[in-house]
Amino acid sequence: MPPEVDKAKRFLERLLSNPMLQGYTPLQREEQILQLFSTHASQLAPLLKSNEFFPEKSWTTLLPILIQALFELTDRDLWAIFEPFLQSDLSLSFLSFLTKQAVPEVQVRAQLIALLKDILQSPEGRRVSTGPLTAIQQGGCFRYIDEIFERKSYIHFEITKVQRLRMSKEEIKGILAITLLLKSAYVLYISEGMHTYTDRIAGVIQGPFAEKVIRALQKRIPLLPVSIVESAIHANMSFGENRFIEATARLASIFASRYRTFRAGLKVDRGADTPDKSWFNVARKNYKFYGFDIKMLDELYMIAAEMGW
Amino acid sequence: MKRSFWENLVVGAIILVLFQTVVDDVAVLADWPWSIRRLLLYFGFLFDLFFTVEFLVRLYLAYVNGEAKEYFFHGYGWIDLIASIPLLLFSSGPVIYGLLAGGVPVFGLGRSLNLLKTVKIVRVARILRVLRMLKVVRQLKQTNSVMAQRHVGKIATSVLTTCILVFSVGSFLLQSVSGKSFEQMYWESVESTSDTLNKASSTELNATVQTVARVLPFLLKVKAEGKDIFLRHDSFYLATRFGPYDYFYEQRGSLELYFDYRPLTRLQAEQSLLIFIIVLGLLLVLLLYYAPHFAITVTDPLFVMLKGFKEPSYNLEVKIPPHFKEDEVFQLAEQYNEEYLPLKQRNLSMGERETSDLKWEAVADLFKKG
Repeated sequence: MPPEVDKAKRFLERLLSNPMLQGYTPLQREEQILQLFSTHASQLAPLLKSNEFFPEKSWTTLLPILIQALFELTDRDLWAIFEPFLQSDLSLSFLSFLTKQAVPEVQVRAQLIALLKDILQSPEGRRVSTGPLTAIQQGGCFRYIDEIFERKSYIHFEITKVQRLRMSKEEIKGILAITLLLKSAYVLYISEGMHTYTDRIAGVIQGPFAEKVIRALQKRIPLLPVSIVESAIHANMSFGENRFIEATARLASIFASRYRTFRAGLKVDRGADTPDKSWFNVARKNYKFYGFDIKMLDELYMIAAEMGW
Repeated sequence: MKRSFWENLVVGAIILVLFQTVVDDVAVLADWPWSIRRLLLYFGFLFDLFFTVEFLVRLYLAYVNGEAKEYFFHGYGWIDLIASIPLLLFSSGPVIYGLLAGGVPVFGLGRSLNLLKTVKIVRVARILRVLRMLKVVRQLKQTNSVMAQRHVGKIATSVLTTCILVFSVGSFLLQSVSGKSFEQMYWESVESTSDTLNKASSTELNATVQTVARVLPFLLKVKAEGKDIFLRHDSFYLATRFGPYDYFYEQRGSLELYFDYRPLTRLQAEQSLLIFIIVLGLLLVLLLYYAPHFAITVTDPLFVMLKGFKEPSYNLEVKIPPHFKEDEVFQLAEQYNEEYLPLKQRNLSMGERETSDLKWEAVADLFKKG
């Protein structure tokens, strides 16, 4: 490891420990730092050129070093959470429901870890994984599953009757986690320069491309049922344009978007509504723009309002 | 914003002086020993002196900074003035002077000096101490909003000042227009008793004194030719329970009469305590009921909207209480919730305005610390 990267890490460690970044997940913190580099390059460059830091480096040569160091620090923190999650905490009990046969879970878990590592290789993959991985890490989306099963309303109907996932809510939570985890896998198959910020709006990918990605992923993770892979990739499509999208895909799409900017422990100002209720209400207004299922948003909004989330 | 040591000291002194004022009234009503009441009077004087010095220092500092007018008219300087110098001059100052001078020069000279008026002014002026509560009000930070604090401060100032002025001025006016007050009856009794006893012959004086003493409970002591002919209480009781302005002395020829003045003081203490309770009640209602209401219906929604306009990542909606939804503020909030936030979210999603929550100042500090 070049000595500059070590030096950069020391600087970034201090930056990452800033209280303003508290409550964010590793990928969110990384995104915040990258935004800082982008917006304050002109101020940072002369300061980092001082003798204490990198006196010989220009900003253009220093930036890749900083980014490499930042990715390594993020990976360290991220895998400290996701390695044990994928190796044991993630429940794969739904596999036997879907395949009607025994599935070697250890192999599936190893394949998932390898796939996630590949996704996180590229800056684009890291960026689009921020929302889904934050949703899993913060876990807030799973408490909605409990409420959905309690109420047995629209979303429950869509999951159990339309998508025909007749299983317990714990299995549904597992499917939602896998859907979120694989949602960003499409970035492995995009050509360079294809993406800007379209993952945040409706119809990131279109049907033919989605089919191509699903086929490729099937080969990559053959032990995973195709319905799960389809759900994950369809989570990137607009429900407005594709009414066949699975309920779990629609949920994953909403939660990935919700948790992209989610901040744990955020103090709710007096006079303001709760974070989830606010977010779902805004999303209801923008549902066409984001390609969300409005009925799902309505139900999630009601849950957030009633539960004070 | 953290309060300075001086501000904390002032707030502490205000709370103590209000406590002292209440205890002083209770002490009169409960007939506490004179030694305790004397101590309370000294404390009252020290507090009045403290607030007078505080006002003069504040005024001087404001003058030096060229802000004397601003301090006096807009910084509650006029309250500082009313609640300090008049109290020292008309309330605790004369009391302490009287005590240090042995009581007699001020309080014991008889009606010619108009004891009643002096003591009455002293007690009415004490009400001004309640105005100091306003100094606490402006120290209280009910909300983070400057606007809420100013509004509550204005209302509290208006209500309390009006109350205190009405009570103090009103009490004088009412007495001048009303019929026979307790005070008038008191002085008429004193006058007639003095006349009766003065006219009584030496042989029937003792019997007359005993008769009068039975119907006039505030006749304390009668001396004739330098000898005690009537004593309602023993000398120990008199020494421990009576201060220099708890009795009234009258001389008619060789006859010396002492009257208990405490019934009138008790009446004034009752009124003073009542005013204090009314003002305190009003203040508590303003602070605990009105201030939160103002915050909920005006400043809190404005604060949330302002934050939403300023901070790109802030996306919390304004909470609209159903029974206030017709208020202009909440109609504005509805527009903010329904129109602005969705638009802002879409703009953010399009990557038009990417910003970090990390403030540059915090990052710059990192370099300063090395």
